[in-house]
Amino acid sequence: MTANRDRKPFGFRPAMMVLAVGLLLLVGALATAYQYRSGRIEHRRQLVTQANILAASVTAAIAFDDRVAAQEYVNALKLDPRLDAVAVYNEAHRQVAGFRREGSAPIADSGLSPGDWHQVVVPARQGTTTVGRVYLRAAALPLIVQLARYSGVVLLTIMAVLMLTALAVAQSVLTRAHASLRRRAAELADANQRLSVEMEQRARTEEALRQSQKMEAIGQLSGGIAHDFNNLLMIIKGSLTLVQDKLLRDDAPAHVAASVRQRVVAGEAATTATPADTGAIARHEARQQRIRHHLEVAQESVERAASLTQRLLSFARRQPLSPQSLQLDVLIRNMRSLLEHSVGSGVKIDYRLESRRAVLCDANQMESAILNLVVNARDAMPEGGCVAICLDDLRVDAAHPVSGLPFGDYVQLRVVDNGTGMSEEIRRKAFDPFFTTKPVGKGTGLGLSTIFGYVEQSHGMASIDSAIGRGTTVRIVLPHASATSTSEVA
Amino acid sequence: MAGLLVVGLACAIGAAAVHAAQAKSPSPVSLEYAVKATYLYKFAPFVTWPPGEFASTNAPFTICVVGNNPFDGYLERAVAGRGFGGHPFSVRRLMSLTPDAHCQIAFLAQLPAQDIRQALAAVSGQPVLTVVDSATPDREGIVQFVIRQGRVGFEINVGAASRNHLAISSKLLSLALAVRDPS
Ligand SMILES: Nc1ncnc2c1ncn2[C@@H]1O[C@H](COP(=O)(O)OP(=O)(O)OP(=O)(O)O)[C@@H](O)[C@H]1O
Ligand SMILES: [Mg+2]
Repeated sequence: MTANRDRKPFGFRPAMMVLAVGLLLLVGALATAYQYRSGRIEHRRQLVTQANILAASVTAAIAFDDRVAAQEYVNALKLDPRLDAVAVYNEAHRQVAGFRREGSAPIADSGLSPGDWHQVVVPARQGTTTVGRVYLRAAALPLIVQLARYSGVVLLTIMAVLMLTALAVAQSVLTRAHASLRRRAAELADANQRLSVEMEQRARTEEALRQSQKMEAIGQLSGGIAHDFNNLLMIIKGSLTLVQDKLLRDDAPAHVAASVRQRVVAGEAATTATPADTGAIARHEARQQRIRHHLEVAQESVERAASLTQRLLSFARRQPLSPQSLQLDVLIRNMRSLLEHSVGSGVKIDYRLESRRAVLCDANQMESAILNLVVNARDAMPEGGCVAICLDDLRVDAAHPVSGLPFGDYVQLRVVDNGTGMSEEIRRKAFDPFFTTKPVGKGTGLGLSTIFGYVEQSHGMASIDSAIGRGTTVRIVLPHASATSTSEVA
Repeated sequence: MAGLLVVGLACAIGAAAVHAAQAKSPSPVSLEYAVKATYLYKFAPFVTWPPGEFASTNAPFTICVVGNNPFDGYLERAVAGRGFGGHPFSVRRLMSLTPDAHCQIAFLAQLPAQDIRQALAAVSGQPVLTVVDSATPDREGIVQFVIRQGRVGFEINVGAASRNHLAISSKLLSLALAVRDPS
């Protein structure tokens, strides 16, 4: 990834560098060659011009064979050190005048060899009449002079190459620095990201801790109350039973007979019952009926109070559980008719039971928890809708951590609805006992808190994910019951 | 003196030309006149005749030899195949020069002084380059051959030339042993 980013399109690369230097050298060589060529052409042009001037001035001397005059003209050219030899020939191929410097070969009147650019020949013409020829030969330039002539181009080329090299080096240094800077920046960003993730996790953990502490406190409080309350209820219940038993044993005829017996003792006839007696019996019966009714109401209320305290106790994790290893998918499948009956015809239940793992839990509590969740979902969808019960395997490890759960294998149960959803505020309070948004008499607010307590007691985790208008997902994660953990709990 | 002259001439003239002349001619002309013959036609490029001098572009350029012919046919052979600006050289022999002779160059050779005067007067004002032989000097001719230090040389009278409407190249003037301008 970094390597890719380093390959910038504008970056100087060695190949490009070599190419540029090569091009530059080529251009330099071409320029030198051009200069050499044009210099030669210019040189030759000068030579021809000199020859033409000499030829024009020397025509009469050639024509009338005046060697002295011709030699005078030629001698004027001697002053030019670039000339090596000069020869003036007449029509009869005889040399009229000329000179050559020491060590140079004489010029023969034999026209011009085409390859020899040092030497030129021009006809000496007077008007239209050719009277002879003039030869000029240039001195070969010393090597040092020739080199000096091209030194400008060579110097420029060398300087350009040097500059290019310096540029490339600077560029590569810059590129390297840039890359390392970018790497450092990326590392920094990474660290920052990690830090913010850690901070978020920490905040979540703190929140969870606070929540669990709150739950703990409420649980202890309500658990203590519920416990004592339960004991009191048991006494009330026992007393009520005793009262009822007593009432049932003293039934009406016996009561009447007792009154008759009293009267016999008093000397009254005991053969027949009086109409007054009959009336008393009827009144007695009606009274008893009323008492029995009140007793029943009282007993029913005690029963309900008992179940309430039971739920409080279970939230406070003070209820006795009988955990056993079971497969949730089997459990849920067995609950199907109960669940469907509970939600009614307007809500469809979608079962996605992917996990076959066993968990260690109390079957009755689990059933009531699932029922509770499904009923909550139904309540959130007054217009009807769809509830999905999803069950899948979950692995918690370093790559997929779940806050509050040790690494290991789990089973995840999710009840998903597309109902009204909850605001963030409600979502945070939903696990609190007695928190409900439902009208009085419809909800107790103990459903989710009971589940929370139960799941915690089972070494699992419960959470809610919800958004208003989008629905709610309640998640319960329970540890996979491996052989070791089973024995541990047992 | 004669020996010296011959040696000087031998140096002065192209040996090949002399050899050719000697090979072609059984009775060789003297070296002096061979040189003079060569000079005669070589004057042409250095002289400008007035425009309209030639009737047509290939009309002959006439060199008249007036009086005794000292060349013995050498001049004819020397100019054979040569020309001046498209005009082939032709040689005419005249006993006396008349105004209607139509010569471009008139060589007055070995004539009595009286005849030379006459001849010069005949073409005065006409575009004729008059050349007077060294044997019979007359200062009124345009070109005057002279022998100096064994070499054939010439003097030029530019006044006479301009009278005859001729312009002489300064190059030729610079070679002249003397340039006169009596006017
Ligand atoms: N699936 C859900 N969709 C929307 N809101 C929900 C959902 N489940 C629970 N709630 C909210 O959480 C509150 C608490 O639920 P909880 O089950 O604890 O009590 P309840 O359903 O109100 O009463 P109970 O279950 O005791 O009859 C509910 O009143 C409701 O506002
Ligand atoms: Mg509920």
